[in-house]
Amino acid sequence: MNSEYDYLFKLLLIGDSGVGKSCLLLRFSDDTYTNDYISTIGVDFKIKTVELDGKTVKLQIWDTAGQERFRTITSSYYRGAHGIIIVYDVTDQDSFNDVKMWLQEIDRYATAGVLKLMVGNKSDLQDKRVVEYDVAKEFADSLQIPFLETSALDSSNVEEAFLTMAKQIKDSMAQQHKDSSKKDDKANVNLKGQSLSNSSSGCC
Amino acid sequence: MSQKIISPSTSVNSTAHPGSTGYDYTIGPQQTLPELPVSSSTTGGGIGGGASTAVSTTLPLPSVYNESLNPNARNQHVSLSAYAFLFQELVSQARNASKSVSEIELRLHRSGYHIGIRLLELLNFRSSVSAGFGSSSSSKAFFSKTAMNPSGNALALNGSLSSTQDEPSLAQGISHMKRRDLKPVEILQFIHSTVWSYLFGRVSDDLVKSSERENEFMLIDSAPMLTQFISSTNVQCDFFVCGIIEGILDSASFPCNVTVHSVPEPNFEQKVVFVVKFEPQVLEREALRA
Amino acid sequence: MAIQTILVINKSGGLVYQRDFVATAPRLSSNEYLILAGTLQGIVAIASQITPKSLQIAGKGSAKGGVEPAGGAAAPLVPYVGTLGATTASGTPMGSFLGPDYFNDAFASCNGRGLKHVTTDQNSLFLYQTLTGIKFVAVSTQPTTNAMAVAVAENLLRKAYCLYADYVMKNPFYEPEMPIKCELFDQKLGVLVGQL
Repeated sequence: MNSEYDYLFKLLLIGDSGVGKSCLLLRFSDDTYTNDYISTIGVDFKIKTVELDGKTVKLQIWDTAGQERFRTITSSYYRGAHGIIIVYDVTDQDSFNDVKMWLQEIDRYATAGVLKLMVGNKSDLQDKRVVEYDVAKEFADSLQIPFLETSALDSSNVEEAFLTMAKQIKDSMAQQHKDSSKKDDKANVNLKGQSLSNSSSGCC
Repeated sequence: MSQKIISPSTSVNSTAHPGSTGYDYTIGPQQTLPELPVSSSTTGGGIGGGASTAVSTTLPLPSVYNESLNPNARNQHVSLSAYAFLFQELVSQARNASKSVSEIELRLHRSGYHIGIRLLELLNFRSSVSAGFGSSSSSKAFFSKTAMNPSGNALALNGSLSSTQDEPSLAQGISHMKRRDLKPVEILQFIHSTVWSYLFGRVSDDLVKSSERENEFMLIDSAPMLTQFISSTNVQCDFFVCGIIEGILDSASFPCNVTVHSVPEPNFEQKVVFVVKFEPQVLEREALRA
Repeated sequence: MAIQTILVINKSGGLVYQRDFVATAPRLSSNEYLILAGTLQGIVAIASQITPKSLQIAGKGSAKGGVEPAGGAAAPLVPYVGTLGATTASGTPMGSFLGPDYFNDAFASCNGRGLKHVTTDQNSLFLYQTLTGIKFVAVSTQPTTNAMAVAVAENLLRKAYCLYADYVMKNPFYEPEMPIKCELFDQKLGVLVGQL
């Protein structure tokens, strides 16, 4: 195979429609910004190649549609995601309120222990801001989710947000082996059960 | 007796080995019995010569000692996948604990070494008892009695009746045992045939003596079983088998150094050569024997 | 009909393997292949959404355990086709399947309600989905809607799955769900496709 990459990470971008998920992504992958608003249909992809610890890592970012009517399909995209980025708009209170709903979606569909990141977008629009940094930060801290504010327009923090995530994923992959050996709460495990393999012989 | 076996000077007169006539399937164990007195007379001779070599070059004859004592596990086959997955995890463990390629190989080598030490005892015991003795009905019954299953007890009754007539006892069988391998070639042939068939179900593809160096021998495996699913990386996983060989040779008092080299050939891309390099003391000892 | 490209897509829609078998294959960048894989994953999801419920239920009835509808009575058996790549030229068996051929009978497709086959003017794309959700994709050089060709492709991809189980899953240096870099898998897959 002529694959020039060692790792492939799946990142998922979710959040309400119009909060600027696709713009955020475009900024990161192509380093360009478009003002045209095109609603994403189903899913869109952006790929960024980064170097981490001497390994080539491809970040495949699945930019899902925020619109309600695509919801049934987008839920199937959660499978196997390494990291999920929840985006809201600092100028839109509803989009921030919906973060809770998105977190529930994650709990329902994504792998347990998936890395999460909360991003407040459009931080450049200071005059229209309705969601204060402190409020969002407190909310994120209470859920132990890393949080940052970015602006796709001036690309502040965008690069860092994705790179931090990639690094965390790679570290957690290396960690997995060690974590599994730590589990030592056998005292709480209920080992009682009924054999299912022999039950069929008893019926006749 | 053990002294005599070690002493090189007494091994010259040993040519005939009692068990070397072999076990004939069609006739059964009786064939080896008449030779029993002969065996006890030659026991003093410190045998380790050509006869035992002949035994080890052929595949070990099927006997009860080659089987598991567990009555439910007769003729068991280990799934190749199970073997492969287990080995995979072994490599992963070594890999996670290591910082460099050579450290991984060293760890694999070490794991194999410990197996080799233990394996030598088991295989030596199994091949030490003559095949004829092992396959006789009485000895089978002897072992199934210890296994404590009802059908085994019935067999044991039959067996104990017949054993009073013409069967050798276990104690007699021990005097019948294969002699310790004293020459480097003998122990290598033991590895080439007995060890390889125990581990991989077939003899190794060749045993070669280096034409350039006196103390080097090569065991060739054109399709190594353990690593057949592992794409060749810079880590040579066959160091595990190296460790097994070195463990066997070391504990059999043939101190040596075993390395593995991959020699891809058309149709045998995964062919490997295990190079056994004996310490000088082995050759010196060999020179004294001659 | 020849096989132009084989792709392996993991459970989460990431492309973990891509290989071209003919020189004329269009050169796509690795990013484009990644997008293709992700899109296919989406199409498979949509296809299973629009499969009539009655079909899905019929499939489920026969699937024991019911984790995923596994073909069964509703889905017709895929006929067995020839001894595709059973052994290499030298007669050495491929993988841990030591028999003359891995399988020699028809099998039920695990892909009870998903996408199997896409045809355009230029190419045909065949998709074999495993019970665990891995997708093996073959792209042919010519378009075909022939039922025989579909069966051949399905047989071929199932064998590719066997090779995957052997030479990828049993390789301690492979990290699950990550791009496949296993020489032996490359080699054996090449032989398999070459014998078509």
